[in-house]
Amino acid sequence: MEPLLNGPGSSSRETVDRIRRVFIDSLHLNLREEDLHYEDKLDESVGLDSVAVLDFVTALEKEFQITFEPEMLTIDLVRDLKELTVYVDERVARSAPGGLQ
Amino acid sequence: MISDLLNDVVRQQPGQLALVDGAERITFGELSERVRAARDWLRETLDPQPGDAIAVSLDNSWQFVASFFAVAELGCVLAPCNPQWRAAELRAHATRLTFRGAIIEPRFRGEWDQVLDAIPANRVLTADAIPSSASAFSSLPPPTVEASEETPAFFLSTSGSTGTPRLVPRSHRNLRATAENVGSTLEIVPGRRFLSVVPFFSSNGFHNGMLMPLLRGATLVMMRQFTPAGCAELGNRERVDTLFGSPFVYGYLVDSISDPASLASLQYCYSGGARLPSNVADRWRQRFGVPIRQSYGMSETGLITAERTAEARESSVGACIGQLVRNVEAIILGPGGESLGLDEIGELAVRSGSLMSGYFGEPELNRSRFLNGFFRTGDLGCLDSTGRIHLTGRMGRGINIAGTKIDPVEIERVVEMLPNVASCHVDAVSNGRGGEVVRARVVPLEGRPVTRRDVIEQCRQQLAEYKLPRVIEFLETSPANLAGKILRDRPPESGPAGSS
Repeated sequence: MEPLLNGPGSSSRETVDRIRRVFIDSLHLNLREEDLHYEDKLDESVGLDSVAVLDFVTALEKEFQITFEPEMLTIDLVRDLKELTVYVDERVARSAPGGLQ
Repeated sequence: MISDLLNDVVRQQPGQLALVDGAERITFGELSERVRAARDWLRETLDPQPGDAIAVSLDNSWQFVASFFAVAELGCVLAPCNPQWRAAELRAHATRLTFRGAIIEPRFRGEWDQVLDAIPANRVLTADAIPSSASAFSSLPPPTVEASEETPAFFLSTSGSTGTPRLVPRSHRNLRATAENVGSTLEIVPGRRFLSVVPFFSSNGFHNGMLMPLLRGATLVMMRQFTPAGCAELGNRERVDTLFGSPFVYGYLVDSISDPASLASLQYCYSGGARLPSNVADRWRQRFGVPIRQSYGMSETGLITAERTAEARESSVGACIGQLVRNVEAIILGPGGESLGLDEIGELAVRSGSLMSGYFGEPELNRSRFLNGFFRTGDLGCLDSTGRIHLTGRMGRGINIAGTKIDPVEIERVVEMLPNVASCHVDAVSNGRGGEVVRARVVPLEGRPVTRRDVIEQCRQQLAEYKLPRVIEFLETSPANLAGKILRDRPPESGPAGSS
């Protein structure tokens, strides 16, 4: 794995990797995970129309056992690996037993 | 005119609910008032003349419905634009049809501001400006328009295989025939409640999700933006019983909604646009207890078939797409244009009142696609002894991604504009889940680097996001065999191949 400059803390590193894997698999991209840099926007390497966003988000919900809030289904969140990682971690924490909610 | 059919329904049931749009509940009587308001507002702002084209880029909303009937009453033609189109695509459309004006959602203003050379800003109107009451225009005399039944009322855009989209005029006669034939075949009656999620700018959404149900006196429960959770919530609240969806819509709903009590009121589910994967059909039936009935149609023809029974139909040769819609004739053509018998596979050709008279401005193409009044669909299949049609494949190179047709040549041309690209070949590969994704195989000029990002950036400037390739491969030589024929008949690969 490539070094993550200004990367996420260790708690999120695994989340980032899983998000990248889900992104590649759900959209059926011929990319490697290391092609998706933490600092870049995900749609620099693929078109993200509304169908693709739904594909990706549905796969993320399944992978992390979370639900996206409808108002968060925006291209701006979904294309941003950094923000997306923070959001997914937060939703995982909320849905965990004893979490907020 | 097509609005006469709406006016008939308005007279019969003015108080019946016609549209549900967010918090708004609009009866047929109120819809009639809104059509009149939109019509007179258009006369004041655009002064359109019969035959003029007016573009719309609108969500599934009362404004779309009112604009359609208002424009038709003026003898003009509504030209819907896919909201995902880029400025270059809008400009090409506007140039071919010479828009008198456009009505758009305010959020699309940025893209339209880039095509002011094709349509001036003061003729691009926003949906929020459409008045809901006609009282402001009481001084206007009623319009005197005598449109023939052959006049186009709606222009659909469909991808061809030459790099330029094809324009399909839908005449008043075509639309009337669609509504009557499909409505009577499926026995749609007042009181039925349709969940209208497929966009009205598409053939399936417009014909089956909007026009036909309204003209049969049914209620449209419209979704401006499709989300599975929103669908379940709205479907339950409004007790919808009918859905004309697509494999995409059903795939999401069945993946996302685990509670069978959701959508419990849904009884009639039809899927069109592309082949429905059998795992989606099976899981749907298990979860919700109702079958998804396969249907098939095209922009050029309206709906051709729909399965009327609740039994699942297996096909040993391909996909069974159901029985013919009333008053639609079908024949299967052999290689020499001869008519084939039952169970023999050839090209499907159809004839009906709903069939367009021809593509706009394409006399040569029209000569090749029509035979004795029958339209050659380009789809391969056969008729069985029960009167059902089975599809087995498609002629030519068209790509169908979740019901949206994509022209590979259009993408190839754009990629080949990159200075370092020698050639590009575009096709579809399996996504491993019963659907397909776009693949671009790019041959760079020798010693000149091209990256995946170059390709994506270039495409994004010219093409709608849904046309962008998912799989991008770089090859040293063109994927052509020695005879120069592109190896496009190779079976689709099961997974992503290679790496960029």
